[in-house]
Amino acid sequence: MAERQSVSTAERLLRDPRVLIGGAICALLLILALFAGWIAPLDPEDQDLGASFEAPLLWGGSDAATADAAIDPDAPRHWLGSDNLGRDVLSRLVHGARTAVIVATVSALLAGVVGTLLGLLAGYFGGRVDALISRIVDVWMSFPPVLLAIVLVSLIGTGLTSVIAAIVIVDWTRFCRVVRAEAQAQTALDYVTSARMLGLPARRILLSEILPNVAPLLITLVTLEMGIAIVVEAMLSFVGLSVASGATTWGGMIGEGRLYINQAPWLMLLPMLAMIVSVLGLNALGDGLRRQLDPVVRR
Amino acid sequence: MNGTAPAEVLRVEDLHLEIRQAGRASVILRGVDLAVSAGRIHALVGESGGGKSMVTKAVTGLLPETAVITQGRIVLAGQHVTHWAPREWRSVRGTVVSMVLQDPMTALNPVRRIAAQLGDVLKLHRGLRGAALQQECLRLLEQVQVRDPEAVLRQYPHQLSGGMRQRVVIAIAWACKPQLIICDEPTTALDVTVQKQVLRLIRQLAQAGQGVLMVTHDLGVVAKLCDTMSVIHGGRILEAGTVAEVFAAPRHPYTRALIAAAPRFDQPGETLTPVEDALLEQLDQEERDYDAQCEKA
Repeated sequence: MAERQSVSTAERLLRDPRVLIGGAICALLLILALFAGWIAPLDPEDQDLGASFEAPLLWGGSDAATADAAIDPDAPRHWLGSDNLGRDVLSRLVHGARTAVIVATVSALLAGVVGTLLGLLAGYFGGRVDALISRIVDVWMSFPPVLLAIVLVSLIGTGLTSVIAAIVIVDWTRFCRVVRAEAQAQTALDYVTSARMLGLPARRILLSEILPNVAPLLITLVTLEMGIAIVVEAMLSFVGLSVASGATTWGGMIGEGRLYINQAPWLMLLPMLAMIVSVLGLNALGDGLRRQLDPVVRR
Repeated sequence: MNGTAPAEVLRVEDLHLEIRQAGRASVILRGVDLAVSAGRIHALVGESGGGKSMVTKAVTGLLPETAVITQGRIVLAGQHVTHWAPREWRSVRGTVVSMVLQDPMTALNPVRRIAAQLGDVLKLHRGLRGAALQQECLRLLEQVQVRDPEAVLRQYPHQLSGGMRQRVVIAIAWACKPQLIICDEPTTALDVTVQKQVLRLIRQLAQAGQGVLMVTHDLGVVAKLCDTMSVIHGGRILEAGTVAEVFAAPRHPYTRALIAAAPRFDQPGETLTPVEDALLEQLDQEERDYDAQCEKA
């Protein structure tokens, strides 16, 4: 019976459409991020002022593009159009995916580490430790998160590291609260009492007894947090506080595209679409994993 | 104490304990006396809520933060442990005192292999590594009569039956030969046939010289397995003595009622007499009187 159960976990995961679709989207994102340089047809920062505001080919292309092609058949084609500076939108989207994936992964993992550590301590020790950590979390969560992130980034300056730091500082509480509750539940179980009765030090009990039992929850939380991080990063770059102008971001594209919404709506719509699909994919994956891995929901 | 009597591994004297929470104190233990000798099994008998588990928590240092020992003392293997700090407790756990918990389903970590869980305590307290560790794990599992110990070591708890799991739990508790082992209803969650085997196992292991405190509400277990017993109700020890004495001539009416209420296999068809409400009422009254006296004092 036991063997069957462990096999069916993998099978169940593969049968869940949420996990499949979400997983596929995440895999696609990851591939785009890893191989952005090869996949993107053009340099995302390459300006071609002669070919600005070209409509995506699927949009029907524009007269300018057709004219260009007539003059110079070797001119690069912009499958998803070009922006006000004649930069290739497709290439920018692909490179934007790289930024999104880096920010999402690193900040979700770091927020996870910080929040999990404090959550484990609060849940296991309880009493004063718990009171202290829980109060900090309460106070922390009473700040509007986006505002906090904007203030933080304007204080510590822009750049990839600052954005990641801001997201970690804002979002560790999410992990802390959930892990604390779970650690509390696990601590009440007999196997933790047994471990304490054997004289195992608290560090060992937390890391090798309780943490593995919290792991399924963490996988889910990290996935969901990645979606949130993508949105936060986009918000920061929308207000011009994200990664320095050298790198391409979806939020930055939305911010710039907003100015030309009447002439070239695709400049804003395409990065928005990319973001919506990615966040939906991550949420679907996280939700699917939670449903399949969490024994309480599964029952 | 004379020279021929076995050494005492646990002595609890006049233990009073309160839970203080939100400015209110409720009395849990009202003067508990208890003694466990090496190589003997002492039963602590009583119904749920009688203070049994609070006694086990007190003698293992697992009391919640809200519990306060107001009076009395606990001597564990010659050391006064009554007001020990957590760090001091850690130095005796596993080596001087250990515990077998009631439910083998939850007493083992579900996501770790048996080898890791049994190995932990051997690594920590006996410094065993590598082949010696493996050897000792196998020996311990054989000692608790686990069939095919090599396979069991590689398995996870959910792959084992309840009886097997409880054997593993017992092996872990006995791994460092502690002087006192507390068994908290070790057979309640098991099948009757498995119960018998596990009890026999505990009996055998205790003969090697460990003192066992058997916490139970099952008088059948007490009669078959234990040497001495204490009956606890409402945080007081009502009666104590050797099992033979108490069963032959119970002095306290509550003990008599408990024995009458236990089903017996040798008298099928007899009607069971539950403990009378009047008696319970009387005991409750005694406790209230006692608490009132304490408050006055």
